[in-house]
Amino acid sequence: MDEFLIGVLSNIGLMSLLALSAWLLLVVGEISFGQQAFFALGAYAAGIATALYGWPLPLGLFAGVVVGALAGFAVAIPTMRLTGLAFAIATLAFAELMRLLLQLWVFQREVDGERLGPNAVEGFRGVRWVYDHDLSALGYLGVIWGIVVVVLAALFLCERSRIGLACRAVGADAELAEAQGLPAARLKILVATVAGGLAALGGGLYVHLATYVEPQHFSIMLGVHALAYGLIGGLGTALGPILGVVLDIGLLEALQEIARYRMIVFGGAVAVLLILRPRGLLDEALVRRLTRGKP
Amino acid sequence: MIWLWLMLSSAALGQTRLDAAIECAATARLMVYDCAIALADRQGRPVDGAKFKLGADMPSMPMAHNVRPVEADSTDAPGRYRARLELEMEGEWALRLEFSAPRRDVVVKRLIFDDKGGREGR
Repeated sequence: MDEFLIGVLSNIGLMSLLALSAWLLLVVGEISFGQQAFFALGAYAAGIATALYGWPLPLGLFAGVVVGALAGFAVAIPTMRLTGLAFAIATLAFAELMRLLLQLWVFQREVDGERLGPNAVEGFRGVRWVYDHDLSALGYLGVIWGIVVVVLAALFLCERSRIGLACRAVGADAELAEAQGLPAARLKILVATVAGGLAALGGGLYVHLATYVEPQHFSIMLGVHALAYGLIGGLGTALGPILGVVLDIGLLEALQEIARYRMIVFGGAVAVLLILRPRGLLDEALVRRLTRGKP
Repeated sequence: MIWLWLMLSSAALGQTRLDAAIECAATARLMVYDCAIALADRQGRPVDGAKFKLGADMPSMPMAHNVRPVEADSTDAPGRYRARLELEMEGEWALRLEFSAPRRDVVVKRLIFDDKGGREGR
């Protein structure tokens, strides 16, 4: 397979994990501009585990997921009292706080005669597990998409479960859901924890593909895109955010003539879609029609 | 199976790392740059016979700007290579040198690009 195509598909897979984490919060009715912070935590934690302490990749990724999920839980506890714009601003503030802390954080060790580890604004270089273990780009693409498929399968199963239905009810109207006896706050905290872990998983995979990260990677741009993918692709199914990623990175990338103007096209597409289809292309109504086979 | 293999493969193949210095000059074509790359080992000795591709990603929006990697050509000067790179816009880019020889490795350098060319920033 063409190297360029492998790179694009890898990026689509990684961005899908981040987009899915933002989508999870959208499902329970919350808009997060801060999922890039958990992506960053996963990247740094997994990178430290493999590059500085020689852990195998799966354990490094697991460490990243644990750190991301714990951070998601810790942020959810105080912010779940907030709703709407206040919650969105709080998540953005947390993400910016994390990014600024990473700009200050130095934690280095000597590994094979080389100083490795987070080095403030210089970032974290030398996360070479994939290269040191001679895992090919195609092999790593398989790892990324294997994980995406497993995550999607888990989300599909969850959607059909009682928890999934309860999350949809909370997302539609939290007060009404509570009145019906659903623990809305606890469900939101659970979803925020899972979303944190999911974003961190993406970050852990990303740092091992890129071999380096820096705080600048985790700016609001990344968070806005992750959120926009869910809103473009649709809130009706977990395939929605992936459709959003494919439309942006995949389709617009294929149209090289407009690649330079992609951000303008992307911004315009988000604006138009939010007017025409406020819950995205694959919204709940369309998904219901498709799954029931009725017009 | 992949997971099992990843779990079991613990012995790293890491050896001496490569380092690179890159400077790019703007060409007559918009957003196309001629890049000169000086390749050395950690002791500063020029590295000849390397095979690598030069790619780029924007740190301010990772994963969104996919630049098609280009093969670098060796020159007559020791440890010197060149490649022509086409970017999507000016600004800070992380150039990625993906080596297949002398061994599989990657070196990342950050450059700031404008209408004159690209220079290492930080």
